[in-house]
Amino acid sequence: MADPEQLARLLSATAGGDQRAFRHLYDASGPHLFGLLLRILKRRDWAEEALQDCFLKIWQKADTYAPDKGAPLTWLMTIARYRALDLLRAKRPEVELPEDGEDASMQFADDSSGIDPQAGAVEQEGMGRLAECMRGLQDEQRRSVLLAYYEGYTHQELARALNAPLGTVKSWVRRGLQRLRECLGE
Amino acid sequence: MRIERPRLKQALSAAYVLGTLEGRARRRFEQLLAARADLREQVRWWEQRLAPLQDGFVPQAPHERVWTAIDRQINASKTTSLPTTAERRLRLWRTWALLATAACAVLAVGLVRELDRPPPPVQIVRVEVPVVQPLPYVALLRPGESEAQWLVTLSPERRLIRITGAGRFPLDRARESLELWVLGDDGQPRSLGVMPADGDAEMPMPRGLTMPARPTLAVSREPAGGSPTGLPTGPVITVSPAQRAS
Repeated sequence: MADPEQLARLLSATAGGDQRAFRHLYDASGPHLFGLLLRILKRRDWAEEALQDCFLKIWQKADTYAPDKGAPLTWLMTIARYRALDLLRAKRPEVELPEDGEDASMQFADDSSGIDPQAGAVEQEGMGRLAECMRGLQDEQRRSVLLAYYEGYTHQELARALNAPLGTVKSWVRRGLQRLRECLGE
Repeated sequence: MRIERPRLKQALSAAYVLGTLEGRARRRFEQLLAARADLREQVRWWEQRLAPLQDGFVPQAPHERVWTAIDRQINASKTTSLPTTAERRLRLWRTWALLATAACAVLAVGLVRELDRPPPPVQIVRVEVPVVQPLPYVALLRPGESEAQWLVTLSPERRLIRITGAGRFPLDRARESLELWVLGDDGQPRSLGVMPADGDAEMPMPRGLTMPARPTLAVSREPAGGSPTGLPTGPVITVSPAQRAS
């Protein structure tokens, strides 16, 4: 894992237009981003295209990184994951969710008390806390959330992969996230 | 989308981060995100809470062609877009790199000519006798925009840098410093320290610095106290190859 302080320095120099620092940043973080992109996009050519997009974006937006956005590598990986999701949907439009009912699928019961987000990074708590909360999910909920996270599956792809009706899968994801929220927010 | 309900706001943010917010809903949410700090806060909360999952991705080395494409694009975009401060600096940086390359080329041509010419026997003797105290490297640095000039003498064996200045370089000293750099054989600039805008100075050579075979010196304008990054961030005002004094 790349040294966060070094990555922060490289990001800062990149923001100043330093191409050499940018190359070092690419060398240090590129394989992490590429691993993510390959996993989600499955195809090397798409992953390479996405990696290129990511680093062009990083070159342009390095100055928007701030430590309160999390560790540098987390920030970079987050950019890559969103890029992968966008590219996946653009390359495979046939798997896009039908428009009807998408809002309803997001409705939560309003009975439980709201948990406000806490400011500041909590990555130090790391996998421990998240893993604990993951264990608190039902198996189907956990599998749905992890497949969506690591494979970039849409609801329809999840339904196919888990051999379950679309509505059921949507509910697994929704309730899984809701329980994670309650567990992580405590 | 009745986005004001807190539970819905949370749910949409979570689904957005996970990726299960799809299609038109995702695009609408992205538009809202640009305008709404409260949603960005929710999204960041989820990004950070789920970040430990990133450890589950296995790093893979990309092919070098990806970098080649990135490099080509960032250098192509610079010439077509309006220069921002960063790009202006970058251009100066590139100019400097080109100058340094040119300086090296000039040196190389000189060297080749030297090699082509059969050296007088006396010189051969001089080369083969071990030099106990090598001569210092000398460079004359003359920034175009002022009367100032600096004779910089580097004595690696004594770990000493001596600067003899003439003329004054206009500088707002409260806000700016001049920083001296040596460009190594790998093209990487290394700081030799902050130097005076006028007058003479002696400073120690930075610890761990090894003199390149063909050093090029340069001076850049930096924030007061020197570059915060360890690499030049401001305009390079002068550049010159340093040669062994004879």
